[in-house]
Amino acid sequence: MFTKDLIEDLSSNSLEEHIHKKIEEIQKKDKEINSFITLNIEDAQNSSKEIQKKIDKGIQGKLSGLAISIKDNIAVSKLRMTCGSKVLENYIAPYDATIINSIKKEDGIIIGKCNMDEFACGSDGTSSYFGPTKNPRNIDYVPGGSSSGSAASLAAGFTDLSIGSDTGGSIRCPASFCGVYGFKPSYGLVSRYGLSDMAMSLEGPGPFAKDTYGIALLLDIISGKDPRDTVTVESSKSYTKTVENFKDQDIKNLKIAYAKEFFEGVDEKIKNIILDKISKLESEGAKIEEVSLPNIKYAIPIYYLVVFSEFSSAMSKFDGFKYGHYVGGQDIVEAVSNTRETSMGIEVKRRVLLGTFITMEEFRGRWYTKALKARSAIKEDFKRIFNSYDLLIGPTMPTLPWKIGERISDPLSMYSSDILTVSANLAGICASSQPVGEAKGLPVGLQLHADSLCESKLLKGMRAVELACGGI
Amino acid sequence: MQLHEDKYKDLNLKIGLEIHVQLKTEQKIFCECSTDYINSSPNNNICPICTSQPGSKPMGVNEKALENLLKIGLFFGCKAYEKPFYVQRKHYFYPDLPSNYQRTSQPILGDGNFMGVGIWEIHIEEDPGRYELREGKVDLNRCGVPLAEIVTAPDIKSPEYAREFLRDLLLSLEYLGVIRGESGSIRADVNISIMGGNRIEIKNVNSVKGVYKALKYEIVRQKAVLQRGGTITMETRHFDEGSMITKTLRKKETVADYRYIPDPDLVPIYISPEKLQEIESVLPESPHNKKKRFMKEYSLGEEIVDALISDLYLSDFFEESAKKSNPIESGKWCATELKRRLNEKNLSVSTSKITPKHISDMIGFIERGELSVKNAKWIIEDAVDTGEDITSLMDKKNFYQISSEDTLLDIIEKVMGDNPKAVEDYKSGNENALHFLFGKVVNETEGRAEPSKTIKLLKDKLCMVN
Amino acid sequence: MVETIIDDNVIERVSEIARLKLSEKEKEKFREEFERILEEFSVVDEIKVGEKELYYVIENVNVLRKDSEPKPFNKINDIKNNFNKKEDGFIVVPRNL
Ligand SMILES: [Mg+2]
Ligand SMILES: [Zn+2]
Repeated sequence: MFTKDLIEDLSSNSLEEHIHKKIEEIQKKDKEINSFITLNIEDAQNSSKEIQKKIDKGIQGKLSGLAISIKDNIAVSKLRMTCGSKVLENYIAPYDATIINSIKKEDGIIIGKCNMDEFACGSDGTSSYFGPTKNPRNIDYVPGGSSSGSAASLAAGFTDLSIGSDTGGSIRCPASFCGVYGFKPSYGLVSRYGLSDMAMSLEGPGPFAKDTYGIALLLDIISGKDPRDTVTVESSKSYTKTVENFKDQDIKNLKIAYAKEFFEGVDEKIKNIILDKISKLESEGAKIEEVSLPNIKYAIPIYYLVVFSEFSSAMSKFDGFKYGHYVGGQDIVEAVSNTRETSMGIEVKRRVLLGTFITMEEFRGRWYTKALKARSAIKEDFKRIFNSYDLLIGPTMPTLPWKIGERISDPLSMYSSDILTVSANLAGICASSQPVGEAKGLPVGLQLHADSLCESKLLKGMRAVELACGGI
Repeated sequence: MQLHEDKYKDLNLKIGLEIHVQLKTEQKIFCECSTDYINSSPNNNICPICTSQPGSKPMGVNEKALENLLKIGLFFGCKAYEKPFYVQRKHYFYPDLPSNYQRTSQPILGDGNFMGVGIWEIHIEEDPGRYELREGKVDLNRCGVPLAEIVTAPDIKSPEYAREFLRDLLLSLEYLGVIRGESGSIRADVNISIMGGNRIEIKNVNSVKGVYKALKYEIVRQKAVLQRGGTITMETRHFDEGSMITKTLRKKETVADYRYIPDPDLVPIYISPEKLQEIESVLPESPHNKKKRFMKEYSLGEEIVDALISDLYLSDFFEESAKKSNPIESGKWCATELKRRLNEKNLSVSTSKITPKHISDMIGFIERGELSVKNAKWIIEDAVDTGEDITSLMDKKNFYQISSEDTLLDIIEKVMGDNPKAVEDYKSGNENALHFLFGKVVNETEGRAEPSKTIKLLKDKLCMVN
Repeated sequence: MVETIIDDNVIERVSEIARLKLSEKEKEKFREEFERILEEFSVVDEIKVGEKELYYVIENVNVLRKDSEPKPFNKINDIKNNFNKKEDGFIVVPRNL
């Protein structure tokens, strides 16, 4: 297990050197990749010295000084938090997100804040005010979004672990495109306190890693009930153990469903790679059966209607008075309008306006309320499946990464790329993406779903796939 | 006072109020900041939550705030809704509202009544901060102080009754101990229609007096519009505390669509019947019930009872003193002399030194003829000021009445001897002479002669003189 | 087809409510775009839905918090440092006369 071995190595080798190497890599290559918005070099170096002392005494935390990059919509005290937007270009977070507190407590070293689509509004990492992130596997291609910098910084070797956030695939999509592991926890398992809002009923932070063990390790640290987030629940915090104790034998106990709807319109090359992995799992003893998810084809409109509504509400707070970009004007109405007009990007404006429109008195019944009712249908679909199966398997993305700039102009074609990931968010269940091959030199991600709060099952599935793909 | 005031009879006034009061808690509603925003310099009672820093989330609703709100509702005879309620986001841009939406719950209780005015519903919400319009300055210290909003039916028929209703409502909430004391004020949105016309909403009136003045002004204004043959269009107006008039808001301030959505960051709240019962069981008696009980149980007149129940502490004080003395006497003293002295000194029974025992002891002295009613007033003043017990006050002031017949007779004889002319006058039929002689006895005893006994003995003695 | 008639009036009002100034060109662009997006999204009409709106995907209810001693935030200056304009501790914003 790669991450586990790395931690063991760190207890005999120099942590300072390890961090130093990461920083060197970043300074050498990130100009091109553009995965970071803000670096935390000095602080990281100091921390590495402190944690080295702890390691020498054998009292280090579980993260033992691993480098961690953080999506720039998560608050790290005293560091800039831009959310990839001009709106917050100069905003310094006055507090730590709950998960950042936990990571610091376990001696994770925050190496920097990652580039992202502006306010997480995007699926390919190109809508950031700070310029597009490039895919480390091929810099002409998009890295996926919105947690583009998190996935790219990990894939490029700038960091050991990363934290992103997933509202409708924002962790899984870039994980798939960059060829790393990404995990969207069940809604409520990980505190959202400190995660800037995009669509509050859909999203949460989650880990990126180079392997299943790394995912489990971060999950143990960041999960659990938080008095600062009322939707959170208790966590078993035994995910690392689940992964460590996994035996080949366990594959035989997995009941895995695959739905034809998850393969419709999917790139043939991707489809073949995923189907190949499915038969491999089957040959190793997993029970695989085909199921149907009839409402998945409605997931995109339902998802975006919910996103627009909640996003327009969440974005109200940016008026320039308390923080953020400010223009000013004759009176309070003009000052706020000027400020918002000049600091928000096109996709942000589009969503704010649409969200305002569909929640207005005359139109809410037609759109907002209807979307919420339809959301139940998606949840029911999954409920039915997970009554009989442990996991649902399929591809993460319907296509390979596209070239930078290819899809910017058409919002509908951008939205459609989320077709395979948004359902998990609508239902609040957990889902993952992990690299299982490549086509045209670009990574292909396999997606697993498990029922709400069944992260242990999902991790077992990930580990099974990891081993089936020749992982260690 | 009547709900219907004759002078407004022809106007068919319909007045409804949306009243905001700050609920008494230590911490704010969604964060751990203090609710004592007044004693803090500007923007020094804030945190990431109540300033809506990007990424912050509200903590669970402050349970105490909710309990206090339930007390208010149950006190007004409201029923709690059985369905879970959501905290909603009410969207509007304003500099004192850091999120640019206000968290405000769905109705929690409803269908109550207070002083003949229907209570439509009560819900909980967060207080915004403060925006000084004229200076363009914002202080967020108050953001997140828990508020109850009480919405009445349009049952009020006069500005005078609105004023009385608000005063009594505030008093009751103080009774309950559920609102922040020092704020003292009330914030209300006032709805008024006359002659069945359109409803006008006057926003943000900040005092009971303001409500009264705003209503008075609106009646005059609307009457004038109607007399000119105009019509009243539905609108929102602003009350200017300085000039005491209402003003139309500019158009761009009124384009509003609150776009309510349930706050995805706060899970629904359900109030169990057990919780309601628990709160109901510790609820103090409502002023209305207390009034009925005092009149029946203690045979007190309405005026006295009104004076007693206008102050929770005074009514408790009275009940305590009535345990050890004649309630009618005790009620009278508490409602008149005691209350007068407290007002004079700007005190309440809880802050002054007087105790219920003072009153009951004092009544004992009066009943035994040892203290005159006139001197009793002085005793009350001293007890309020010093708290010394009655016996020592009696001694100190030399207030013990002379009611021994032998002693009185000695004095009467001396006075008669000293004033033979008056004795003669009385005998020739001049009643005034009796008063003159009585006055002399009172002077002789430094006011301590028991009056009725003295008169009787004086008369007897005068008749005996030939 | 759906009746997503978004006339200029509505776009104007949306932009006012959302406090987002739009140029005439932007208004036209968004109006056209929104009609297209909403038309595509009107497939949600095909779903058989119940009356119940799904606001929360978790079952948590009644997450209340005990009132206790206030815990003042210890980095208030870090909040204040982000204020755009300030004077005597106040945030300075346009006046409203
Ligand atoms: Mg309100
Ligand atoms: Zn606070």
